[in-house]
Amino acid sequence: MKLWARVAVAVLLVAVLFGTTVHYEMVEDDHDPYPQNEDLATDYDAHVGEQMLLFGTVQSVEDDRLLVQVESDAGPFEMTVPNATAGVQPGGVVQVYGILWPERVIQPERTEVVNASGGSSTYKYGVSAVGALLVVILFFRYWTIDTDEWAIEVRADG
Amino acid sequence: MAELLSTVCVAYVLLTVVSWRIEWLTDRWIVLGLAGTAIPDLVKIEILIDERTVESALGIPFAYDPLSSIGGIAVVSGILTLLFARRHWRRVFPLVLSGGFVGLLVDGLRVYADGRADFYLYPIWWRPPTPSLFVSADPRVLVISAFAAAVVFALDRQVIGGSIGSSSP
Repeated sequence: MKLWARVAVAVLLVAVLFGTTVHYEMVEDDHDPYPQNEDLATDYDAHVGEQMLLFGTVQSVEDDRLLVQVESDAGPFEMTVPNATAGVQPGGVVQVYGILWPERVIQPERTEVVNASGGSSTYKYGVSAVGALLVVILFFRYWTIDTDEWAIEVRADG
Repeated sequence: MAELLSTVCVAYVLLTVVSWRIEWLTDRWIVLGLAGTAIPDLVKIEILIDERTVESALGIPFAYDPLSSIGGIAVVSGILTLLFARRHWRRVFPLVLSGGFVGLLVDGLRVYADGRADFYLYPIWWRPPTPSLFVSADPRVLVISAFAAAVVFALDRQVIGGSIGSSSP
């Protein structure tokens, strides 16, 4: 296949990919069983009594009461989680599944700790970076870029 | 998602075991599957460029989520395949795609407080149930997957040795 044809197909596929990113966001609300975060940010009271799954960053912990910050397309907002049994520190990330109560309180049915503290995400990104580096090193051990054809080819010694 | 190193280990284990049955599946090709596991992680571009920034710049709805779905992975695998010389496409595509699916599969085992994973099957709108086995920051995931990879590596090099395509040494 000629280089221009390959580029043309690649451009077409990138367009398709971009199309999915737009389509997903357009129709996700119709399929998501829960209110959207931005709906809670702008009109919380309309959703009191509904089931919700929240991801939030813990701001403070007071006994078993968590204050979490939730991100949304309409800006961040805070929620209170009473009776949270999860062991978590400020800076940690939790998932809360429960019922929305008045005054931005979510009564949890189940709370899960995603990151126990801010350090957990450093661990994840650090280990992921090692994984990425390993893949790059292994890849170039076996493959090389053929600049005559502008294509990836097997290394002569790979 | 699980961190990338664990996912790479899981993909290595699966592809190496498969390679004991498929003669052409050598290290050179397995590496492509390992690279494919990083595709679902492309949603992390979010850290660099926020979805809201893209939306306000272009004036249209936008989400990175499809990159971590079967539909998005298939398209990205196609784009990556085009980077290779034509004669390799037949093998590159299925391997990169399989790697991406392994990444999704591992992600789909994670903890969700409501018991269901994300819309990983997009364009099919269904959230598969998750066994909620681990959270990504759990170091035990890496310990187990790295141990499994080490065992398979040793088996592959020492027991199976040069007799590729045959399970008897």
